[in-house]
Amino acid sequence: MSDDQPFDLVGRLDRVRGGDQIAARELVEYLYPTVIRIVRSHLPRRVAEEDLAQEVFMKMFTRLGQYQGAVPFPHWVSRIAVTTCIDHLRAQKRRPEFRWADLAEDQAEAIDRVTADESAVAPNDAMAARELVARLLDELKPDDRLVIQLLDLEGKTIEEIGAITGWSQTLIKVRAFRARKKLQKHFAELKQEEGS
Amino acid sequence: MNPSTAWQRLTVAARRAPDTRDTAAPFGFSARVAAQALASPRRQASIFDQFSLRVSLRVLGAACALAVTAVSVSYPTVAGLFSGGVAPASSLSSRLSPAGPGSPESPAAVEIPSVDTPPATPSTGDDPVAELVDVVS
Repeated sequence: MSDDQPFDLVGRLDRVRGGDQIAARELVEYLYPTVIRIVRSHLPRRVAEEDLAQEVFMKMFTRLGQYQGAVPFPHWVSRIAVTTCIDHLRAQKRRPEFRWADLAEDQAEAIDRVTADESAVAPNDAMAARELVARLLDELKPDDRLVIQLLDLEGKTIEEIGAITGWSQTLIKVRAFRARKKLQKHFAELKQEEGS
Repeated sequence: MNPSTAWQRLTVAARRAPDTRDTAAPFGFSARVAAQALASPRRQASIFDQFSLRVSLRVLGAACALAVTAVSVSYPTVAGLFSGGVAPASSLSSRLSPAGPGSPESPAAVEIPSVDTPPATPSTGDDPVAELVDVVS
């Protein structure tokens, strides 16, 4: 597969439908970055990202006959990836409880700096913030977590989230509002816990 | 500090964290997935499958209707089984019985005593015709 030529998605799909294994491999390699980003963003605990990515691709091949071309193929695959991740997150019976004491001392200091002043965030502070956000998101319901992840962390628009999830704009806004309230409340409790 | 401001700053900072992880497919991943996906033949519903599915559903519906009809038609017989009297399958089973109808060995010929039925008058003789005359008179 040459990097110079644009990827012929339609041609590859036709060949895959005809049972061409090489085309199927090229399709997987082309879509893997898209899928793995989604999987990493919504990875449940104790699930290997490669296993989840494989499950997404297997679903993609199984449902290939249902793809009508109404949406771009990568969007269609993204939706499969998102729903697969949500199903796994829902299957988790318990969500972990996060406490301020779980953070290392330098992480806690970094978060203090970040929340005090956002103008100049050092890379290490950004990593600490990312880890804290990930842990806080773990405590949300899968649907709420997905909305916040896409909206606040990946910077996607409501329309883009609607295209990925199939949810209405109103539903996305309501979920985002409720999820942010929960996160803010929990973050405030953590800060209180830190202060006491 | 306002919690919403703190959360906003936190997410802005988290967004700045670079994700340095490789996004390329691991070695052998695509080959494994493609082989596994194409090895199991994708089951696409053919016209014959769709036709047979519709026929199967109709046949199932007809069978259910037939079963309901059969139960409703034979309800008196079934009800008689529980209210006493001669067992409903007496005629058929007595015909099928090797001992023949009415024989003591035939289980279908056994009369089921009912609670409401008065006990039969004990016979005084061996002649059934005489007994019948006694009952009628």
